[in-house]
Amino acid sequence: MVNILFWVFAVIAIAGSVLATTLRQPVHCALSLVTTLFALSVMYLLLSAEFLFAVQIFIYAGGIMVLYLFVIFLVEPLRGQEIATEPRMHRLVGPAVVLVFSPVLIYALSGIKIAPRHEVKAPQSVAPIKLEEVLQLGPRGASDPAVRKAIVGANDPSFRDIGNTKVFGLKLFTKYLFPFEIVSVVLLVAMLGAIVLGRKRFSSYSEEEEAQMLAEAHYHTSRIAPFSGETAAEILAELRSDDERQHKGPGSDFKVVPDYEE
Amino acid sequence: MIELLVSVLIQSVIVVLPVLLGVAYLTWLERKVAGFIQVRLGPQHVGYRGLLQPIADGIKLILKENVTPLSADRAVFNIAPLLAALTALSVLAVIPWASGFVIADVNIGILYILSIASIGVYGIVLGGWASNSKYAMFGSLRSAAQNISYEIPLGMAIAGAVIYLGTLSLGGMVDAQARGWLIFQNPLHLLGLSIYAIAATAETNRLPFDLPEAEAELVAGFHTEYSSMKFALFFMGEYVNMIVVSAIAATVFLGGWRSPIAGLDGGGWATVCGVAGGIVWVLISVWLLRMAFAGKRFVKSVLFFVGIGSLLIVLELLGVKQGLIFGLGSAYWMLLKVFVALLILMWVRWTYPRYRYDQLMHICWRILLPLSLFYIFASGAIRFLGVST
Amino acid sequence: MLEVTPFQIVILSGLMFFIGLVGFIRRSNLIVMLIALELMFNAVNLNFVGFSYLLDDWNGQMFTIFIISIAACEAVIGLGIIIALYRHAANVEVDEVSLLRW
Repeated sequence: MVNILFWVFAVIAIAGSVLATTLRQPVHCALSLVTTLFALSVMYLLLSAEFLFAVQIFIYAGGIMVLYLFVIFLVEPLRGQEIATEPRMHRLVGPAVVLVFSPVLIYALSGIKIAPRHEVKAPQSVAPIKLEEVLQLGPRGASDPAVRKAIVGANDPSFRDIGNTKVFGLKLFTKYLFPFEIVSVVLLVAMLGAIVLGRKRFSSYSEEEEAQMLAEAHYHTSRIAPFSGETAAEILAELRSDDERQHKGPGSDFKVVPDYEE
Repeated sequence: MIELLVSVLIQSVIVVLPVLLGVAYLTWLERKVAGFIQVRLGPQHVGYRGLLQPIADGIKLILKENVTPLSADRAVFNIAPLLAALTALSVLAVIPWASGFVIADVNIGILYILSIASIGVYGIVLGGWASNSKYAMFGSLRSAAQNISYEIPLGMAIAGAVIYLGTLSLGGMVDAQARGWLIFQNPLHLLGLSIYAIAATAETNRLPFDLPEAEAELVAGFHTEYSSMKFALFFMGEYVNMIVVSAIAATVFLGGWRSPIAGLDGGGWATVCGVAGGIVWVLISVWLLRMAFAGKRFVKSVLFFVGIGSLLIVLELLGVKQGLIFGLGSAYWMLLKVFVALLILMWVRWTYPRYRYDQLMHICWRILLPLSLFYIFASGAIRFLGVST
Repeated sequence: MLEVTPFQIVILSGLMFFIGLVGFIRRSNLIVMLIALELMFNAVNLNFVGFSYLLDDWNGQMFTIFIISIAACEAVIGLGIIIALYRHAANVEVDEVSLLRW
């Protein structure tokens, strides 16, 4: 039963990923990716990774993909305004690559035989299991139903279930503490980077200084390739009108004719 | 295998049907409460005191024409209300409604709830985009930004409570409050409850945080272009969200199906607390209606609601068997808490003016977030220092 | 208990990785390229979690959660770059913004 579920969700994941790379509209691609992420998280659940099931949905599908949708809305807001471009390669290149490489891959990988480094331990007795013993188990052992029923500290009513999450947390904050701290620093840096990238104006020069620099650059390059050689005033005027276009948003200088009577 | 499926199906029907009926009558209650706060009567004509109003509304919504804009994206347009409604309903499966009655007491119950809440954002975002209209688009972007911003203080308030309770599963949380409700175990958790309450009000897009649906500003926000059943689904999703959010507050902070006085929530005492709860129910209802009625009709309304209350008491007394009375008593407490939380939500809605969008964001990022970080830190510190008992 | 062999896990994640890779190469819309990149990340995640299950080792799941966090950072920065590029060139197709200066 569990195997059937696993393969059903595997098929959904693959189908979603194929759709995510082939559909025309970016919004549809993003939604197919969300489907794939859902299917993957259920597969994680079946692979004894309960915490990752929740984290994948919460952060990946519920946070990162919403961010993608936001950016898609900013960049290509409404339908009917997208630019039709052709894909960069022939349509059959993808399937051809997959078909050509898969026999090689399958042949190369068919001989994998691995074994766990230690026995997949399930606890021997149903008696109260100590926390130290649970920490020695791997993820499959910690998700074992027999471990689930064991109670550590029979007086404490809230300690009734040792699941994957508890041991995950204990390991994360003891053995893997250093990567955890590093990742928090990386997240901080990414946040700062996003704030800096999202600002409107980068340079600290004023508009006149920028126009002067641009005019000089134009003058210099006009020696090599003949350009219109605009003066600083013209460039400033161009910059200002550019600015207006920026403030009004892209596409503000083309008119849409409504198809109803006003 | 088969009996597991059948039992889960029956339990789901037992939970979902009353919730759907409750959603319909929540709209009635909202209009009545709104009326009384605004010194007028609510719906009066449709049934007795307007009790058939939700049914009339439902029939109207079903019979309306199902309009799809011409340039809308068909598939996404149809999926969006489904996402909003179904994610709200899925959360009902993990909430302990009575002692021993949880449809699925998963290990990671509260994480599951937060994940499903973050999927609920998609209904709003996609609804706005698929409508292919300016107002809908702006409304959905604002609403989505508000939703994902307020998920953070919501999750952190829950995290602070989880640190204290020591378990992520909701049934386990109610077990951990056997000593007493969380807010009685340590007064710090009142802070957590307040943060949760504000964040939850913003999550469900209720006033004072309902700029995304503000009629005066954006026509109707992200559900401008929806009509008939799809609009009904959005609407239903919002009200089920309210019920869910109240139920989570009741479970995490207010002790779930436990009574405030330890030991009263089961066994022979269920009758006592059932009667007490019934009287509280009657008093609240009488006080609500008393604001509107005067003179001779006061007696009629009192009789009417005393009748309802005594019906509840009789139902309570009928379950004399051991298991039944325990279950019935504890379900009573849970429903009472959910009902009081819903009343407070509605009370707040019709009392405060709407926040502007930048004020909304200011509250989330510059007030609630530092407070919730402090709450997590303090909760962990108290638990670490062992001051709990 | 789930019965998977390492071969099945690797084929599944390899297939997803290849689909993401081909999508990244073929598409010219920057956002869809980033989506294909996320697909590659997720294929690697599946690989890690699958082998964590088979080898009964915590390292796989730990690595997965770090990959998810770092993928979040990378998505944020990538999308910030796209927005900055869009403000400059009003276009997010890689074939169109191919001139270095403008």
